Amino acid sequence: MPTKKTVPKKRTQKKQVVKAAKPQKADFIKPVISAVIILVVVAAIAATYSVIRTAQLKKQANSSQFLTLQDKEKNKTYQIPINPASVALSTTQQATNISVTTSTSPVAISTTAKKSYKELLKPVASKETIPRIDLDEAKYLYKSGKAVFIDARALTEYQEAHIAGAIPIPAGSAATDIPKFANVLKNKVLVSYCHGVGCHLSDKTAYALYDAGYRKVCIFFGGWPQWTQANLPITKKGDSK
Amino acid sequence: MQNKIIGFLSHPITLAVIKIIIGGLFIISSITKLPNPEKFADSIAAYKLVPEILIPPLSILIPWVQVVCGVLLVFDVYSQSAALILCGLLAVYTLSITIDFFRGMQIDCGCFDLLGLDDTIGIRSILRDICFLAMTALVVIFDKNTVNLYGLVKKIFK
Repeated sequence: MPTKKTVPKKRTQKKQVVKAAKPQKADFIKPVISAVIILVVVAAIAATYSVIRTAQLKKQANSSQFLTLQDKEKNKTYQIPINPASVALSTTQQATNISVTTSTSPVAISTTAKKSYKELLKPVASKETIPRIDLDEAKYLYKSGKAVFIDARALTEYQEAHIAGAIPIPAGSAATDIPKFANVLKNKVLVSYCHGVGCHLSDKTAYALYDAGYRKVCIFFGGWPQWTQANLPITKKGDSK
Repeated sequence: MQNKIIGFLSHPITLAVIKIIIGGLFIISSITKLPNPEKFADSIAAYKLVPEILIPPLSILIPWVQVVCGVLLVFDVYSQSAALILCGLLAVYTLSITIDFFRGMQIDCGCFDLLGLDDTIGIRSILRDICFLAMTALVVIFDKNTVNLYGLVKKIFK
């Protein structure tokens, strides 16, 4: 008698296990399949979008562009033809927060710099967008303590005199010198300078810094001449002794 | 205790909140990237992990994937599949950020920076992405893969 009772219990247990296993497999496969379908559809949408966008950009490049100026006093509008290259320049100006505004007189186009200094503390997206800062901005960064000034001039010139606290990374040996100062440069805004307007050593050092992975980089275009004319802190040869 | 935690995590309200948060975040982050694939391409290139040939197609494709999956999650349509795709993306993002962080690179995350937020890669962004990844994984594990619309479909067809 007892043997008859135990047999049916085992059978029901086996059935329950088989029932539970089947839907788990199906639940895992279905989302993967629909995910692949979603990805294919999205890829098709993106491809269509890129084709439309390319066509739009080609049209824009072919058509001539105009800068519209309004003279409020005389109620007249002026259109100055510009080429697409200068349009690209205006977008980089926007990125560095410099806005071109028209004054009441159509002849005088004033470039008013809406200086949001906090922008300077942000990383740049590409070499082309490395901001070129003026004396006020350089002074702000110097006082903030969040910046390291980098002398891109020759080492002998640096030894003669340099901005107080600046470190020497001459443009010619930038690639080899940057790793030496890794601890000083980390998490700082790096401001390169050289002989002022017309000098491109600071650009080269800034680009080398960018290539080395540093993204908070600025170029102080006024450089050493502007800094000394403003009587800002410098270190001369022998000062440190 | 364990059952209670699982019960809470798999509760429809918990999942609905997660879906709205994650979906919304992906929509917001990608909506600025869609019209600016060039800027997003710069962000991808900055990581120095992707071959140059792949940067242009990825800079167009990724924002679209994010926005579509974000919308699907928010509206609870094939949310398990959408979450699965977003999980993959988040895993790649977390890995990339971690690699570049330990390389000592000081770059923009490319996540929410186009909204004007300062978003340099660091421990904060790694932890944030891990958090998002865990939340999205919950949807993959516990949610249903149907046109659900938070139960509205069932109500309509009943």
